[in-house]
Amino acid sequence: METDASEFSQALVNLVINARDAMPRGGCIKITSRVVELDEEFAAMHQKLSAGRFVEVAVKDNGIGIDEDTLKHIFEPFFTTKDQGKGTGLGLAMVYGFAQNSQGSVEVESTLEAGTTFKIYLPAVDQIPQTVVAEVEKENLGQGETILLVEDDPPLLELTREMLTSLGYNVLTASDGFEAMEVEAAHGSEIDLVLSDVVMPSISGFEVAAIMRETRPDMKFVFMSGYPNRAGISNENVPDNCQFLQKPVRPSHLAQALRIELDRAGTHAPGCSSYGNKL
Amino acid sequence: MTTNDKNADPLRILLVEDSIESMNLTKSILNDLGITQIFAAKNGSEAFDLIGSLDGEDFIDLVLCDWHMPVMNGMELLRQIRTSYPDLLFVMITGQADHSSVAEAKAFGVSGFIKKPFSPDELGKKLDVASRIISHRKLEALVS
Repeated sequence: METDASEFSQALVNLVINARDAMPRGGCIKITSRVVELDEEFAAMHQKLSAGRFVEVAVKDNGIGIDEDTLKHIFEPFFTTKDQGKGTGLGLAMVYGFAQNSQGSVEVESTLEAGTTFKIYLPAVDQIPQTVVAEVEKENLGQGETILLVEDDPPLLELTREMLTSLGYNVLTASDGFEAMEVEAAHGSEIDLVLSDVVMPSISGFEVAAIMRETRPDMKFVFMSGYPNRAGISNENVPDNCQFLQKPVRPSHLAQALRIELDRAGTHAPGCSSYGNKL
Repeated sequence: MTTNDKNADPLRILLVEDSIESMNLTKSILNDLGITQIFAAKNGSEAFDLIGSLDGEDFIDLVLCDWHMPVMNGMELLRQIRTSYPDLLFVMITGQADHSSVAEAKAFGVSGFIKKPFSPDELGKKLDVASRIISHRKLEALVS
């Protein structure tokens, strides 16, 4: 989805505060998200909403619930059921306004003594926002090279794949080190560079590099790591001649690291370089 | 030997499968691929006991394990193996695995998956990868 991050955060905080206040004896707040397809019938019932793919963000509590009369006014500004001084009555109005301004919607379902669920619907976008490419210098864009992307976190795999495609690369993907070697066996000569996570189950990114370089010593690698420094990584296995990126990876840093590594001649100076936040 | 590396040692595989038909079929494919050192167990518990009885040069290189089995399923065997043998390669044989089950197996440290029904070629490719990993690790162990 593409929306104002700070307004989205505030909307989520408002819903969580409401959920907390609805559970004076404690309870459980569940926050979920998923992509949903909203049909014409649903859209027709909601102002500003068109049918299509939306991201549904739900905040569910198992608190005291909301009665029907209150539900009718729940999103009205200054409407509150809280004691004087404990609520402004603007929290849910802000959520409503945010959803409307985002060409989305907000829904509420509640059962007394069972709990309440608020669902925000925001339009889903299929592509990486153009700002991703806009912030990358032209000379750092891909030139149709093929990248093998290895990442064991499925959402991150998909996001990074989209990012690489936007930057102008062909992308092969693998969800772990074992699969990466299968892909390499099938597409070996097509692969110009491997962009890999470091810590993965059973076979690490470093081990993948060492094994692939047994048959292709010139294979180029860029690693992505969520660890704040190299202390979190087995230093003894750090491969020579590679680039490091700190997760979360900024498109401009990714583009620069890939371009430098791809443009480098076959022989490398020993050691690794870091981009973005230093590892 | 299935691997491209003709100098690699033959793989020693533990096959864990509760169906006799599937067990025999997979053994036959493995034999055709040149694998002769095959250990067999019909559930996770039996497999874990068998692994515990092996050591040194007798130890296996790879566990090829069905997911759904009585007594102890593949996931539980994987969990137990990872606590005692963190580096042992473990390939899970899956049917229609959903995303959360795959994610759970990954969290427990599964090395790879192979989907049923698999062809000799598909299994051969998995074993080629396993063979490369094992050869590399043996070489690393010698150097260090």
